[in-house]
Amino acid sequence: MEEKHNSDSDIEALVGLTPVKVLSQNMKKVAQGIESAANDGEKEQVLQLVDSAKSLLDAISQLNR
Amino acid sequence: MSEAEEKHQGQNYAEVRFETKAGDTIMEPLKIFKAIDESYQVATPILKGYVLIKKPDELTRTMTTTPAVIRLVYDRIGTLQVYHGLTDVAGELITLRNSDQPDQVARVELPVISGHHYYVMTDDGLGKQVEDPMHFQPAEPNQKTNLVCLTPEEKNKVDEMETALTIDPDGKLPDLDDLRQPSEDAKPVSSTTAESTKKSVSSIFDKANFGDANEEAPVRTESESSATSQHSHLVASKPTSPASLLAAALSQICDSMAEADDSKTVAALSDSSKKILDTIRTLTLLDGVKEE
Repeated sequence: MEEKHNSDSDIEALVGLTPVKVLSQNMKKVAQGIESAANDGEKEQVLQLVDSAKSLLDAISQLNR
Repeated sequence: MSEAEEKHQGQNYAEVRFETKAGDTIMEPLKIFKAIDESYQVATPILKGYVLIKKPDELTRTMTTTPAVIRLVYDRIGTLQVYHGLTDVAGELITLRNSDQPDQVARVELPVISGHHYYVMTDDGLGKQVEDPMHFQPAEPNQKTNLVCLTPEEKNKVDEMETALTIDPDGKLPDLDDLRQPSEDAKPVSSTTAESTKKSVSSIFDKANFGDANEEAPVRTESESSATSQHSHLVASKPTSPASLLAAALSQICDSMAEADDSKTVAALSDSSKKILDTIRTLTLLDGVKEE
């Protein structure tokens, strides 16, 4: 019974998953990467990740229109 | 040629225009008629609600053979905001009025409070002490002037903060741990001045540590629980770079963006994220330059 309930909520979560949500979650991972790289003083990596995040943001903006 | 015509031919006029900085006419121009080579005086009238900000160097002039145009530029009279102590958020707005001089406003009688002094607030923090509060006259009558009334102890506290928050000439950011206490003490000042004048010492703190991240503040509060705890953790643990703090804020925004249901919110959050990314990039590049 509980298993069925879990699978129902999983399905609901999947149905509610939009491209913007997926990209936002990816963005979060990149942001965490920036945080970690900045803490480690990895400037090059920070700049690369900033570029990646910007690309993701552009994609989010386009999908959001 | 008749005598009247001869007389007319020997005359000319000068037009005095009363304009704003943008060149808009405030009142109808005046014409001064005089015989050529005769001297005349340009009057600078007092216009209600305005203050004269630009006039010719010479107001005594000689009538020329071609009509002269003289521009007198006026601007709206400014305002005076007085804050009492470090906890006064709103301040008191004092209306400035015309004086008997076209380029000055009337002196303001500030209430004399025992053990308190008034200070002019400038872009760099606290400015000069007002020497004569009973007859205060703003230096820039067409601008907004901000004064703060402080006790010597409050003044010292602000001075200490200013010293502590001054960024080293080599570009080093102030130590967060050193700043925590004084910035908390003076939080009321920060809200007072940062909101209305952007001249507070605390805003220097904000800028020094978070770039121009003030715009992102509301977004941070949306997801405040985890963001706050993460932030305090970062501050408590040692040297966290401003870039990583911004990145932490960014990941919170991403959460909000993933949860947002309407496109307007997504657009606003996306815009904020872009600004944060730009700031991170700038801070990182500056850091790189500094090391070289």
